[in-house]
Amino acid sequence: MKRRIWRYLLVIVLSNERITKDSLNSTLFQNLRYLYGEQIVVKTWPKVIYFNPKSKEAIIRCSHNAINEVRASLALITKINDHTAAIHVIRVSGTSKSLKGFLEN
Amino acid sequence: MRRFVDFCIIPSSYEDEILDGLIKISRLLDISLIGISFCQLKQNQISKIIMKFNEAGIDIAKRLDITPKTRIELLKELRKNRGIYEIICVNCNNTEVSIVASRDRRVDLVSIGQKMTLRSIRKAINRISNKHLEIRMSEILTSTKSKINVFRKLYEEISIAKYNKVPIILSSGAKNSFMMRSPRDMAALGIFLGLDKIEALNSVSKNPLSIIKENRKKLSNRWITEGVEIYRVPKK
Repeated sequence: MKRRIWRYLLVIVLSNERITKDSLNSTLFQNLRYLYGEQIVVKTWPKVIYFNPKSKEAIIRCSHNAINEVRASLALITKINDHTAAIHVIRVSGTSKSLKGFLEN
Repeated sequence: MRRFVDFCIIPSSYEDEILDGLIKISRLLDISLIGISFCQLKQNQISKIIMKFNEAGIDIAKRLDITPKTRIELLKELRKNRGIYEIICVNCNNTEVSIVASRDRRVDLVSIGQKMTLRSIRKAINRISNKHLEIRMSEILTSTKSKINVFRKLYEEISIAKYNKVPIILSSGAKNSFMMRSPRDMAALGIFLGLDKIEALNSVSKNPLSIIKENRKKLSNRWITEGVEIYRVPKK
C-alpha cells in the first residue's frame, strides 16, 4: 500500500479568550465540511497534533494534496467558541520535527 | 522569491493601538507592501503613519476608496485626487458609475458592490479595460446572512473576469488585525472561488506590484507623459 504523505501547518491563533485543542479541532472540521463537504474531510483528515494554550501556536496535520482546502477553511474562521478569533498559517513543512524546531528557535 | 501584498486595508481608526496590531500581523505574515485607505486624513497625518510602517520594514501605498453615487461625482473625485494617491479604487454600486469607472484611465481598481445584480456585474466587468478587478475577503468574513450568496457573487465575478481576461486582485479589506489574512490563505480562497493556482498567487503578488510600480513612476517628478520621461537634467 502506498504510504500516506502529510503536510504540517504551523498556525497561530489570535483570540482574547482561552482556547483548547478540541475547540480548535472541531472549528476546523466544521469549516472544512461547510466549504467542501464530507468527502474532502475524509480525504484530507486534518488534525491538530500540537497546541500550546499560552502562546496559542498549533501544528495541524493534513494530506499533502489538500493543503489549499485546509488553508481556505482556516482563513474563513472568524469565531472559536463564539468568541472573535483568527487563524494565520505561518509556515508549512513536510515534517512536524522541523516546525517544532522552528518554534523552539 | 515572491513578494506578497495586501492591497486593501481600511483601518476602523488610525489610533496607535490598531496600527501597531496591523504592523505586528503584517510582519508575522511576511507581507512586504500594504495599501492603506486614507479617507479624510491630512497630509501630515498620512506621512506620520507611513513613517511608522516604514520603520517596521513595511512599504505603504497611499490608497483612496471612492463610492460615488453618480458619474459626475466620480469624475470630480478623480480630478481632485489622482495626483495625490498611489492607488484609486472605485466601489461601484450602480451600473452608471461602474461603466464610467471601467472606461476611465485614472481608475486603478474596480470593486463591485454587494447591491449590484448579476446582470449589471456582467455589464460592468465586460467593459473593464486596462485595470484590475478587486475582490475583498472581508465581504465573505463579515457577511451576516448565508455565505452562499456572497460565494455565488464572487464566483460569478471571477468567472466573467477570467473570460474577459481582466486581471484580478485579492485583498483582505481588513479593518483590524483580526480581519487580516495571509496572502497565501487569500490565494487558497481564490482557488476555491475558481482561480488557477498561478493566477491566485499572482493576484496577491505580481498584479498589485505592477500597479504600484507603474503609478509610482507616474507620480515621480521624472514622468511627463506616456513614453516621455526626464532622463537627465542638463548642467548649467
